[in-house]
Amino acid sequence: MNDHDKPESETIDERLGLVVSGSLTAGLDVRLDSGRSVEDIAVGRYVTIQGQRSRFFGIITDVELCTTNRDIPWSLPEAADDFAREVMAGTTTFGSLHVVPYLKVGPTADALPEPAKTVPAHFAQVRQASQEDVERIFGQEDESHFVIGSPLDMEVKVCLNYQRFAERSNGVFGKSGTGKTFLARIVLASLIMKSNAQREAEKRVVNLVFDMHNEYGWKGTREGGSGEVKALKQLFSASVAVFTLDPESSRRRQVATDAVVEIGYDEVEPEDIEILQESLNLTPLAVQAAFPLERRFGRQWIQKTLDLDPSDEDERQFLQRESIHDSSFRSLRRGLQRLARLSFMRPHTEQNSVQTILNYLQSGKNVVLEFGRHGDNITAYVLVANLLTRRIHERYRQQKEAAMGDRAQEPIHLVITIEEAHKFLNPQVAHQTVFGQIAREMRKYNVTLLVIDQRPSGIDSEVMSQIGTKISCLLDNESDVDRVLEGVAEKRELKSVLARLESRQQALIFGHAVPMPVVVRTEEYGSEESYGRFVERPFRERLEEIYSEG
Amino acid sequence: MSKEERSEIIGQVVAADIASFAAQCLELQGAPPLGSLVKTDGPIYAVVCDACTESVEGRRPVAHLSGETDLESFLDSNPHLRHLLRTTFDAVVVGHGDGPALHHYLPPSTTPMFAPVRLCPQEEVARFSQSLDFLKLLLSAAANSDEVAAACLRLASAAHPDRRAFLVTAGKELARLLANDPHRLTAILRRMRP
Repeated sequence: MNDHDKPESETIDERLGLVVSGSLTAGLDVRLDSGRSVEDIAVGRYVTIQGQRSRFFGIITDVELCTTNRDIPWSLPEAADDFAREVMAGTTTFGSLHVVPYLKVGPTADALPEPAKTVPAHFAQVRQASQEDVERIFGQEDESHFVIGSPLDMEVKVCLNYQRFAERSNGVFGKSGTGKTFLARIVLASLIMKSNAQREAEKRVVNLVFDMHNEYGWKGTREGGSGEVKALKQLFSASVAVFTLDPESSRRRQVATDAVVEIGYDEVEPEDIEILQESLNLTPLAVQAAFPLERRFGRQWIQKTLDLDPSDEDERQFLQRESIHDSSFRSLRRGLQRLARLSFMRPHTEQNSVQTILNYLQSGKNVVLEFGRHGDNITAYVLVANLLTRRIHERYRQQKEAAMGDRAQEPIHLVITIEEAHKFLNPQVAHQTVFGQIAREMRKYNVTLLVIDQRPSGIDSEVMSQIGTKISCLLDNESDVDRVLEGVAEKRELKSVLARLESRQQALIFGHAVPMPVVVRTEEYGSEESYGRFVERPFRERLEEIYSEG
Repeated sequence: MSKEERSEIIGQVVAADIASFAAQCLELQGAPPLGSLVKTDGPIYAVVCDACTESVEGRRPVAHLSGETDLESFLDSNPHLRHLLRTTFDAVVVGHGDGPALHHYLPPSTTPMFAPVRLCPQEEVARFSQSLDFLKLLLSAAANSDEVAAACLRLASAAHPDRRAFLVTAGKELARLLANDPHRLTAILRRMRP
């Protein structure tokens, strides 16, 4: 139903005011109608602006109290004078909204929203967006859209475009305790559900989750810390495998795991040590020392380095020849000893963890790697995530190149989820780690990232600029907010929205998978009903398909 | 007899220009209240903005010093004075009628000389003040325009069923007109507070 069909009373009811000035770059100033109180307005809400030919969708980013004359504040009558206040409200003193227009919809009913490249004319009417308006922009849940939450004060659902979401790297940000894990769980569950519903193989995705705190595999802690919620394996038992680095911890938590991952010393390369420089407290020279050692000892370099006796004359000569200073060598060895003490490290393993994980992924199974008690050990997390991802990415690259553009031969699209992403993607190491490379090359080799982080300011800005869709919970550190919004045209406006999110269950979503930024109250997760969304629907859909085909 | 004719004649135009006229009252001391809406033939509508009682000869009368304080009984005992004194009032033209239509702007020609002036009845005041466009004319009129505007709106509000709502609407119109002069605005608002 377009505006003209509506009864007048209804349209006037929703009217907020008129566009009085503004620009495409700076946003629009909307003069609030005198009957409207600024107290009923909230930043982050949607509005529609009826231009002469097109309709615009925008978001309220600021509310201001204005006066027509700067002397008015000084000539006002006493506060008790209700009459003067009533007269001046909406005339000499008025509320003003700052609205950023994001989308434009043509005059026809079936016109698709497109980014706004102009602004509505003076005195265009601004109204609160209706449920239908929002539904029209964010789509309805179907094969290619999944629900992430509802806009504030509305009952409709905001959907992310599955395909657009999966084709780029994405980020979930927010300070500690704002529900990042909770959101990431919804995103992962939705990705798995939508992937399972795809008929064409190239549209499917698999997830590899480096599960630092054992939240995604079998069960996770409820938001707020009391009770438990089902995690991926319980929802999708057939398409999720849980791997563990710490079988003891998994047993204690009564998690049935599909495989135990062990890492052989001989699987670690000097490049893997490079990224650990900070967490192992290595000097730059100590890191460099790893390369000649690897050249000399080959794959056994860690074991040999640990066994090496610097008092031996031959060895000392070798170290001197390679200009490895004694202190660097000791520093490196101390670091390697720390690695060797990790319970999943073995001098040599028969099992090829990378191959096992790859086999699962290739068969369309999602893999969650639990870190058990190692989750608190950032060295272990960085080492394993980097080492496995590097190998897996390498294999993907080979497969992709071998496929030579034959899409049927290409490996299934992989989304790798990492937490504490700034450890992998900070400006010092982003150029060395495979994660930096994956983020930069987008989906060239069918691998993208889902990064989860509480300190986005620690992430390299080049990497950040490649992140397609950003889901951000409350951030209050200035530099974190700046980094998340870097490169966004409406940065200043979104900043005020982001800083005013509630500390739970609210997130600002913007980027590739949504047509315009949106603040959502995230979907409820943790009740049987909410699980049903992920489990029953595909089943019901399958049944319907069977009947309709029959 | 039409309703308009029924309303009593209070004076006669004795001087006129496009934007205002002066009228002499039929009764000594018979000037309409400040701010009241009057009309002459045409009709041309105007708001009373000033009134004056003076000697017809242009000289200032001499105080009688008799101790009589009631003016009417003093005049009764000195009937010649009614011919030596007169009361006139000035009115700012704020609109005119054209058939059934009301226009809240200046008429095409001046008010005719010696035209009878009548006080508008309440229904007509209500009808005329449906639109507040005349306030601009009122505010730009000469001295005391703030007092006149406030008085006019006070009187007009009595003709509307919701007095306060009328005054608020009128106040908002004033606020728009006086956006650049908030001191003047607040002064008027204080004078028309319900």
